[in-house]
Amino acid sequence: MTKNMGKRDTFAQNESISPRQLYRLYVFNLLGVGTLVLPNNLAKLGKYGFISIALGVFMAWLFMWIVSEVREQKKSIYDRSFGKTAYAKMLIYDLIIAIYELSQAAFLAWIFVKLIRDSLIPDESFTVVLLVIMAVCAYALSGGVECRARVYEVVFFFVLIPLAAMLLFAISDVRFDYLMIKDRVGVDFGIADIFAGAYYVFAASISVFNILFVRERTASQIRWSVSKAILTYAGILFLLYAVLLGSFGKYSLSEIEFPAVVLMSDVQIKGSFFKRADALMLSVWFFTLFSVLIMSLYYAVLRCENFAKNTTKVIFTFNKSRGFSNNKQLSCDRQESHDEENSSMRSWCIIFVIAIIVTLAYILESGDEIVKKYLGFLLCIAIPVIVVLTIGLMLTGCSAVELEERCFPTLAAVDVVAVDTDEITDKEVTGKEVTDYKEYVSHRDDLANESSGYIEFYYNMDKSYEPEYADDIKTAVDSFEERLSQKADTNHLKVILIGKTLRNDKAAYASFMEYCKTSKKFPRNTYVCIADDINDIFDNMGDYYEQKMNKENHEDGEPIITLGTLLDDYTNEIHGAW
Amino acid sequence: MTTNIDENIKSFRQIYSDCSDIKMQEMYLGRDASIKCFVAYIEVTCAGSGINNSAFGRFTSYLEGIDRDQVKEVLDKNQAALSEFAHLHSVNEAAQMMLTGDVIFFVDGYPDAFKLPDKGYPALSIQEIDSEKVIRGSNEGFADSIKINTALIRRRLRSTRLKCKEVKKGLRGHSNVDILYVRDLVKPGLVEEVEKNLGSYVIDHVGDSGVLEQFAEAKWYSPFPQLQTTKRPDVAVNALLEGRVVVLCDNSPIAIILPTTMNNFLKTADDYYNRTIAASFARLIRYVAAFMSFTLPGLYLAVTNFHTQILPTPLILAFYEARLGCPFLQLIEVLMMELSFELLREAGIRLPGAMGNTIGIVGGLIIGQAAVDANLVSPIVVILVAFTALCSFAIPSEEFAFSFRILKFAVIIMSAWLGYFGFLISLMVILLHLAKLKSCGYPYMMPFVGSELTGSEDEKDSIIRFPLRRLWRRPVFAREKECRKLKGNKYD
Repeated sequence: MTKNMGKRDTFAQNESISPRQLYRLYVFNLLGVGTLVLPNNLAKLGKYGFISIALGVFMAWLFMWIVSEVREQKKSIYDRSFGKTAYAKMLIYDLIIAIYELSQAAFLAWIFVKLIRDSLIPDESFTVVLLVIMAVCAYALSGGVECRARVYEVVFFFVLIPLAAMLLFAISDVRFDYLMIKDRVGVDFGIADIFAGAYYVFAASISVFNILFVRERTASQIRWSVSKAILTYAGILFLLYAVLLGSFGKYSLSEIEFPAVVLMSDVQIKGSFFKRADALMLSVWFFTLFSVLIMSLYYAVLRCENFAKNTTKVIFTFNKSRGFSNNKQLSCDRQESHDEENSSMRSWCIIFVIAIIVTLAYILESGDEIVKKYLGFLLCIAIPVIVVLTIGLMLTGCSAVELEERCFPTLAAVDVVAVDTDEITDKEVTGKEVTDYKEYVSHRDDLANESSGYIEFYYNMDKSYEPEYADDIKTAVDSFEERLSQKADTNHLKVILIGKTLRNDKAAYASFMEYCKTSKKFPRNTYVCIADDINDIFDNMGDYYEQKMNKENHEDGEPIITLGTLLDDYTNEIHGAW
Repeated sequence: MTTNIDENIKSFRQIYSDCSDIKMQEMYLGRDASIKCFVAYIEVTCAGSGINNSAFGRFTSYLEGIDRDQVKEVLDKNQAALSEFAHLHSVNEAAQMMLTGDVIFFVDGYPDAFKLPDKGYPALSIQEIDSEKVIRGSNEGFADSIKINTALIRRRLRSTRLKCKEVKKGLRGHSNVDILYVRDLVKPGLVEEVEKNLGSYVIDHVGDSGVLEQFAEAKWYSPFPQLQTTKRPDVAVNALLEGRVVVLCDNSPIAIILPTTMNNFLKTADDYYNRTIAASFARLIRYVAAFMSFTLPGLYLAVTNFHTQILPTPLILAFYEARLGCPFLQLIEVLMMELSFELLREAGIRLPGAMGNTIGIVGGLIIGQAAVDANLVSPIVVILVAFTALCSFAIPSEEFAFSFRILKFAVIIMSAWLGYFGFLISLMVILLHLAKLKSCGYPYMMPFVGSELTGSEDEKDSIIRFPLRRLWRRPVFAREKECRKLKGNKYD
């Protein structure tokens, strides 16, 4: 009972992708790259980015239409008998397409790993994440085309409904002044920039090229399914871009690497169980990126396989001067069903492609240096070593931080105070402790302006610590946390108190903002308050902030400022918050 | 076989030498006691010749009243009026047939032996099933005897188109295997494929339908069952009416149904007996439970070890407080509790009924509470494991629930290693695996994939069960010409 029943009466026609599967697969393919990398690339265009999206999507649709036409004509070409030259040409086409698919897959693998590491497991090594993804890809490839199509058919609504819901929730955070930010002096955008933006959009939609290889479907079926997919993608991209632009502002948006993911951490859902849904929402990009990565890998494997088989034929068949009566085998669009995929040729092609992708992704991650120094090493030795190391890493244990090894500060304070260095040193020597439930770190800001002093930094934890002094805020925070017996898990930080002195000290404030932006130490949804004297507030606060935090707005109706708002205002040079 | 009874007896006795459980008796019947006869049977399968209401009793009584020259005519024409009276043409055949539980009878001067039905082997009769229970509907289950089982199906499906093919399986066991199908509903080739599969291997003995199931599965390494099993005759009948094939095996109260899909494992018999809303709600609960049964512990580890930002602060602080003093890593803690649960489950099954129930209570309450008090595990983990167990119990099919229980450990390890990314990776692998699986050529994930083949009608009987009046189409398994199952003025 291992074989399919008769093709006519049972289910063999599902061996190829159905129109619904094609539609869902291409929605995933397009969303994967588009929603991840496009918004920040289009951000500098501001509201003109919408035109770029419209143009780019239209170009993608046109390209799809042309490719589907080529696919139809190609059939008659392949039905003819080939001459030796045409045969050789086919080999070159296979090679070129394989290289194209491999390059695309390498880029996708790299960006996939980068996203996972940046957003989910920053402490995990690039190698481990890449190899895990590639291992799953290899498993997916062995299932053939319909295998992955089925997966995306099933998870389609489980991915898109939460995404749509989050975007709808995020609309309430859109700020009109962010949408209407004027260009900075000296920065001017013309029609060329809009077309450049459109090109970005088109480039992100290039996966529609792969419809060339879809079999057993007519051009009209393919066009209809993929057109629907492009339309769905365009709708989501429009909405996402609008929400992102309105939430971050164009300048802030252009500085955030994966703004859609960051947006998910900002969205507050009333009555939701989850505090922040960014980690969970990463499932959207996990599935979409996986979809497009697998597609590139799949076609790369097929091209390599075709190339290897046809090369063999060129060598053996032409030498014997045989005719080409069975030239249909050369056809580019040939996708063998997975019943045949256990062949050793397919397995070797999968291994070859995976190895290439791992290497290329490594090169992308490590830059030029590795190309010069380690390429040969990587190709010959590093890959098996990496495999062994990964297994070793798995066996040696997890990189997780256990709950009891963490502490959860809920409040921090930062200010610039004029404190004599000698005095502080005396405190350190005498070992005098600060008051209960607070510790502070201060450091001299040598680069600050005339009102420079120490930046005080507090966590409200159950233990007291000696003050820490450092040259900059990063060092201060790092040194402070090094002395903690537990890892400071700032994900649950509720409030950051900023001293008025710091707020008025432009250089110190800028330094603090830059630190918040780059370190991602403090969540964007942390509330921010300004105080004349942060020590006094810290001492007397009690449940005051707990009550504040549980309210959406201040009593006077003003919204509570979050660190995200502050960062966006700072980057967009808007002084809306204060 | 010869007309000389002594030679036949000698051959027969030779075959059954050293078989103390086989009763062989010579006797002289006929009006003048001149007809030498020989009877052989397995000790407990025959009530004895003295009991007139048994077939054997009636037969011997009849022979007592005839003359020797009438024997041939009486036997040729079955004048004793026995319904299951059969001629056997060789001693070996007679010896073999006796093992089915019938009485073998030799008569002097007659070149055949006879098979007479009697009470047969002792076996468990029809009983109330202990799994797949329903609130509404019959709780009658299959018995151990294949004949009873086919009768139970026939009782529910009184159609001349219900066919039953019998094959013998087991080189030494010679078990009966019945292949049941509805002739005009089953797709061409399926029954032949089943027969071909049964004939593709030779095995000593088929102890249970589980043996056949394992040989029929395409991917032996998959944790998911690729054929459906049931103890319920009504489920088997419903499957037959969907154009599927039911395989019954002697000495097994479990029928195999093929082909199947994932959706079938989450259906229960009373889904069709209850009202739509109740049935749909129950289905939805089962789907959610199936998902949670293998993801919940992994998600817990991913969130508490890597992505604490997901949970509300009071909750993560509660988890933190609960963990204080616990000497094990969370991974070990969760694994330990999950394994303990599996241990309790296994012990509960093996122990006699009342003790089995007790072990569940002892394990769940006392050991769990003691482990928390001793700071070996945190109370959160006990709640988590208990809830996961509850979810796995909500899955109607034991085999299907088992596959999720196994996968749960893989998800736990991946999530503990790579956090939510590991969780997603394991989910992806499971989905890919399910997408690859097929049962007799039908994708395992139907109707969630490829439902276009039936105009998406199959989806109406998946997570949500549409009203019966809207379920007019048979599932994809049935022959296209007979796809309509609901007819009438309102429904055509």
